[in-house]
Amino acid sequence: MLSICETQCIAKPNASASVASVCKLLLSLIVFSGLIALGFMHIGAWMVFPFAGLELVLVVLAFVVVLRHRDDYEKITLAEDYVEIEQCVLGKVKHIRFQRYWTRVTLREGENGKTSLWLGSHNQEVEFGRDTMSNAQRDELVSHLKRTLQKLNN
Amino acid sequence: MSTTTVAHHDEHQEHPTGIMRWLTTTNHKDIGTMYLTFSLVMFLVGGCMILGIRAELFKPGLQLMNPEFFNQLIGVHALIMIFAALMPAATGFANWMLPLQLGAPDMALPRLNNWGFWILPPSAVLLTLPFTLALFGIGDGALATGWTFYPPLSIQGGLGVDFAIFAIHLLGISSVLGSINIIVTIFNMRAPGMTLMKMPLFAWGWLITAFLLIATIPVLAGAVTMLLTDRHFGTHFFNAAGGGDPIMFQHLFWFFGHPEVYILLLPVWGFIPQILQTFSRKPMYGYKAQVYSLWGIGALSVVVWAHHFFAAGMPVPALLYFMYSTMAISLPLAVLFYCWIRTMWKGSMSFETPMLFTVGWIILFGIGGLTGLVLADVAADAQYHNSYFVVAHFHYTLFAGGIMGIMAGVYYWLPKMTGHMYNEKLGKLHFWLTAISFNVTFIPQFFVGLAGMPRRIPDYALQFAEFNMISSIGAFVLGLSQLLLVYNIISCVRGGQKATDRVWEGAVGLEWTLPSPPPYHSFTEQPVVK
Amino acid sequence: MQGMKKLGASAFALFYSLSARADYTFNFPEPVTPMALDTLHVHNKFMLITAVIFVVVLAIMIYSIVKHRHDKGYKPVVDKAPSTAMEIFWTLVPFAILLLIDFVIMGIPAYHSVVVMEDTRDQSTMVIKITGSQWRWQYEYLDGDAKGIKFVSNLTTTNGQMHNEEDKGEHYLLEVDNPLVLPVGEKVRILMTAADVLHNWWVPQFGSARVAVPGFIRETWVQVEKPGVYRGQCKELCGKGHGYMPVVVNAISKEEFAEWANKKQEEQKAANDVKEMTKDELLAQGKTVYEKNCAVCHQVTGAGLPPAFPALTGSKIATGPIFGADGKYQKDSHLDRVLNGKGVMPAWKATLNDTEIAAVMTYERNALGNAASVDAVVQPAQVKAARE
Repeated sequence: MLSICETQCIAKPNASASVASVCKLLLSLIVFSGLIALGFMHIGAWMVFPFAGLELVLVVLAFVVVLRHRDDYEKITLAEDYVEIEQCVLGKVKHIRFQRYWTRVTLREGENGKTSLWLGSHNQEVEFGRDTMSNAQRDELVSHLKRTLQKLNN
Repeated sequence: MSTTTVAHHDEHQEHPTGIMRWLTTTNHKDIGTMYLTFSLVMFLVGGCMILGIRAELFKPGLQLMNPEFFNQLIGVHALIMIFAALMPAATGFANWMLPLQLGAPDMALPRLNNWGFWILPPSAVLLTLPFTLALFGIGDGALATGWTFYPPLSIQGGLGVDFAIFAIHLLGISSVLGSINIIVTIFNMRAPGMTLMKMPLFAWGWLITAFLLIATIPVLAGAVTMLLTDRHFGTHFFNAAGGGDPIMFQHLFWFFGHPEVYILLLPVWGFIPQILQTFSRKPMYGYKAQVYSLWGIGALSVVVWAHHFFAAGMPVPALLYFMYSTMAISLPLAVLFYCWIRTMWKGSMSFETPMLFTVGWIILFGIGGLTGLVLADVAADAQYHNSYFVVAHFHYTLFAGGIMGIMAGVYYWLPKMTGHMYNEKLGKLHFWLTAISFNVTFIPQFFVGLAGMPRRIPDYALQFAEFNMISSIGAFVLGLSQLLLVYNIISCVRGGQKATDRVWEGAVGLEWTLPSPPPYHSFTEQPVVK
Repeated sequence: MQGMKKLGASAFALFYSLSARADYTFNFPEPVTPMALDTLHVHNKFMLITAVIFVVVLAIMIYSIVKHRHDKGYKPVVDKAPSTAMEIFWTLVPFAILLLIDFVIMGIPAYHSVVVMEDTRDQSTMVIKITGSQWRWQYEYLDGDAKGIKFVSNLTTTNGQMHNEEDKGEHYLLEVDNPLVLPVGEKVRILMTAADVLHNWWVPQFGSARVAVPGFIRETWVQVEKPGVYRGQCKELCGKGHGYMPVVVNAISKEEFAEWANKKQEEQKAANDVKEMTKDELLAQGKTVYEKNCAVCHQVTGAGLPPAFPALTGSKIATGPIFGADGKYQKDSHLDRVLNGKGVMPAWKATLNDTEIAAVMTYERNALGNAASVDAVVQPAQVKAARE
């Protein structure tokens, strides 16, 4: 999810599921698969059980991984004399500042045909929105940043 | 998810190219393309196997192969078509289209997605390797029990059974990984404003499919593992002499196997209404009714499994329960058929190839559905069971209802995926050849089945000769006409008339708002669903 | 154009030639039991119902396809987003129609058929046991005139016919040496089981089919109402011989049946008598027994089909010693293997009588390129002793 304002741009992963709805979903999956496995165990086919258990663990893990990152975000703020990039991963916030005048915005060829967006100055660089944006969104963001920086710098 | 990287300038310049790019890709479109390509290749492989069988059955007597090899071909044909052609095709569409339709940059778990695909090719190799090994004198060929693995025959069988069991495990892992990814994507990656009841029907179809896979794959995995331990480690799950029961395997297998039919069909039922509304230039009728019907079918599919083995004997109340619950599947299906036809009704229809396939699909799948209703009757099932009548029935549901639906999807989305229009004339020719030769192949099988020809026999009595000959001729035309599809796809990928963003005049949905082909990562502006 | 004409002419010739000698049947064969008759009626009725549904729906679709076309300039009706109540009503119409068809029009007759089909005991006058084994049927009469009669029914179609070296007979693949004989008009209860893998005993004209499960008894019944010979096949995949285990039933009048039973019982008694035989007699009978029962796997020449089916020629078991110093047969000897089987090799003690086992073993030890130095001739008495 990408939102662009004049001097602030935020990229976040899509997060359309609430924790409560995911819990309900997982619970119903566990009950349903559990009943099936228990039913077959009852007639002697106990080997269904470990497979069902293993699979449910995987499902839960997948949701945990995704939900843990639901509050992640990346923010670019264009301020008076600096550009600040604020990155929040699993609740840990990290700030990186570049001198606004010297800030470069570059779009590179990434892996698998993805592009990658880098902000930097001098010999330091940071990637922005690696998994939360599409190529087109990167194009848009790059042109927005370049336009705004130019305007501010002049 | 965001990752922080502070790096020096030149470190990020090297990227995998060539084969490594495909091995490591996590891009949903790359993976979708790989699934679809794999599916097409395996469709041709499975098709060649069945042409071998139809050639043998062209006339009475043993001409080309011995009965052992015949038995191997029928089983492997089925496994390949189900697990390596139909399922990957549906997964391929899911990978390509779900993120586009839901407005997401990619699937929720891209790395998992990559693993899910790369498990498939080795399992296809495992399945077919015993054929090659037998040429070198190792083992006695592939699985010769039919795709159903019924013990005690599968306990008696050779090396091929073990290979098939491992292949099934891998295929199962692949399906489960795919399903998990799809469930997470649908739940968590929808664009703001897209509530569940505003999702495209294709997403609904796949969501239910994924639930069914999650519920049933462990049962199949358990069943084949018990078979493996019965074969090699002295357990007696399916051996009466040791206190087991061979019929328990059938319960396990079909508890997976019947939902599997809907696993193959639900994604198709998802996108068919989307194609219909495009070419009828009229919104689909009864979206909610269709969603509820899909759920109804999904729910019923897990409680009707034993109708696959009425003939194995069970108490009368069980027979009646499974008969009536099976008949009940026709209720939600009737609603679906009604909605499809009501979508066409008073539309402004044009008949490009995807629409031709869709209309043909409705009619032929209708035959499959109606014969299925008749098959639910326990008394008559004693006659139909394991006869060619059943073979014809499930090819009407799985070839017409599955593969022809997939073909409709291929022609529908091909311009979007490649950016080029396919050859419309060839597409239409492909449709007519497929539809006609399909019927020439399978209508005679209804009749030989009724007359008393059992399935899975390498040679038959003289009274079945004429219908078998017609069926074989039909099968060869059917097989050869698929080369048109291959040619059309290849030439469309390589070039052709540029496709517009919208491609079809009446197309509705987020995927049609993007350029064709869509950029590697999809949405410029966050799409907002009203 | 010329080419098209030629193609048309040859297509016509092909179809003409097909139909000239064709045996097209479009429905079940003539039913000869109450169950098959009932099945036929149910089937016809259901087919009619589904055909009506199909034709009506197809007609609506075709009308729509013809009328509502873009290229005819038909303007799509702008569905004023149908009110939910209307939509629910309309989608419930097909639901209700199918509800009626499923559970009333089709459901009620189907219920009666199931009850009749599963009632194997009521008014049954005779019980037989059918055992499926790879790849032959064994029949045993458990009561009545024919009590105790027991025989094996093997395919008689020759290898030459199967490999297109000879002309195929009228009943190609549907002919056996010993058909099951049943009296007309009697309700016969059938107990079904299997010796090795699943089989399914099916005669289309009887309408009954039941899977034979090893280690379990399944039941069904037949009541043939018209004398005649009826043919069917195994219809559960049971290995490489699945296509080669036909079912042939000879239905005859009660009087004829009683006569047949008498004769058969005497024959069986004579065959069970154990007497000393010469090597030549044993070899002659052994050849027939071998070709009927063993050659499917071990081949007529004895070469087998390794690795699944080992060769008998030069086999250690088929040439090695059978009896130990105490006069009893040794474990894993030739006799042990034939009597009790192992793995894929079936146990023959229930299928073949003493004389047949002695004969076939003598044949295997002296023909097929073998010349056993010890225990070259096996006598029926030795087999009889071994069974005890």
